[in-house]
Amino acid sequence: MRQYYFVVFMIAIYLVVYFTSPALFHESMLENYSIFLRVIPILALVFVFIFLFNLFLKPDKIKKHLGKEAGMKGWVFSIVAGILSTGPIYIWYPLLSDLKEKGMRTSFMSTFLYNRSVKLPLLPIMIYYFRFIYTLILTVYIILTSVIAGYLTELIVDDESKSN
Amino acid sequence: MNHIGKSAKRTLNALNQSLPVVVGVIMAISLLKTAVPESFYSTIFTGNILIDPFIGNLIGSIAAGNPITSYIIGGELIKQGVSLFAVTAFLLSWVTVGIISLPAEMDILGKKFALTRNIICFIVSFLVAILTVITLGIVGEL
Repeated sequence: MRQYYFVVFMIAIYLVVYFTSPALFHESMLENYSIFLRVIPILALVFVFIFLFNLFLKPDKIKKHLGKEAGMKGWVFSIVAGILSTGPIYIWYPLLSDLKEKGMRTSFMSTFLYNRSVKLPLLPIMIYYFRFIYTLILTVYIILTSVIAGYLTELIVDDESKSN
Repeated sequence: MNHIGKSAKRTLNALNQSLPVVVGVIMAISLLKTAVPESFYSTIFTGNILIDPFIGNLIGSIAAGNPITSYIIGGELIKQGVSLFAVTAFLLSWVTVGIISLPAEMDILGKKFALTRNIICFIVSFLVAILTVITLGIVGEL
């Protein structure tokens, strides 16, 4: 039931907007429609992944490749998967939640999400606006610091989890 | 067959847990994108070399939408004389920190994880912006 709180809150806001600013409401609804059209195929794909992971991947396999004993392979996988994943960030939360339940490391989840800031298809646009050398330096730093961000997240979250 | 049924049930449960939250986030992003025009972003920078990166980081954290939008806004900000340091912090936090999607992240991935990750990403965005600008200076590309 708790998962409905936020959407109910947003519906209430939209109702207020509808009565106070009909034009804004109308434009927002068009924007909703446009985002939903883009998001639905990716969301469907994410849930297909969840189904297949539940079907074929046992927790011991997840633990081996994305758990505590994964080592360098886990970091590389998180970075590459983060860079290759498409669509909005929130679309990937359900899959990560599912993998976490099966034993994925906290640091890999955070690293995956951080590397979503490297958008391969958008690199030419970034180069156009900010030049090649800037794009290259920024991309390298994003990848390197994603490991630090992931490690720090795990250090704090898992430590707090233990102490609670 | 039983195993397929179990997997389908788990997937439907994940769908039921996540979909309402995702719909709420999309509604919030749509409203924000419509209510805040792109021209607004250039009006909030002060020209102060120390305050602007923080503003860039903060605005990028709240803003939402396609990263292309952040590149276009970033390019315009550079033209208007906003520092590359501030623009880099803005670009990074746009994609790594999500205030709008925070309720969804807290709900699905846990409150501690979501808050910790976003705070760390906020700080790291600032540090990467410093490193990027310093490195550009070293290689003579500033």
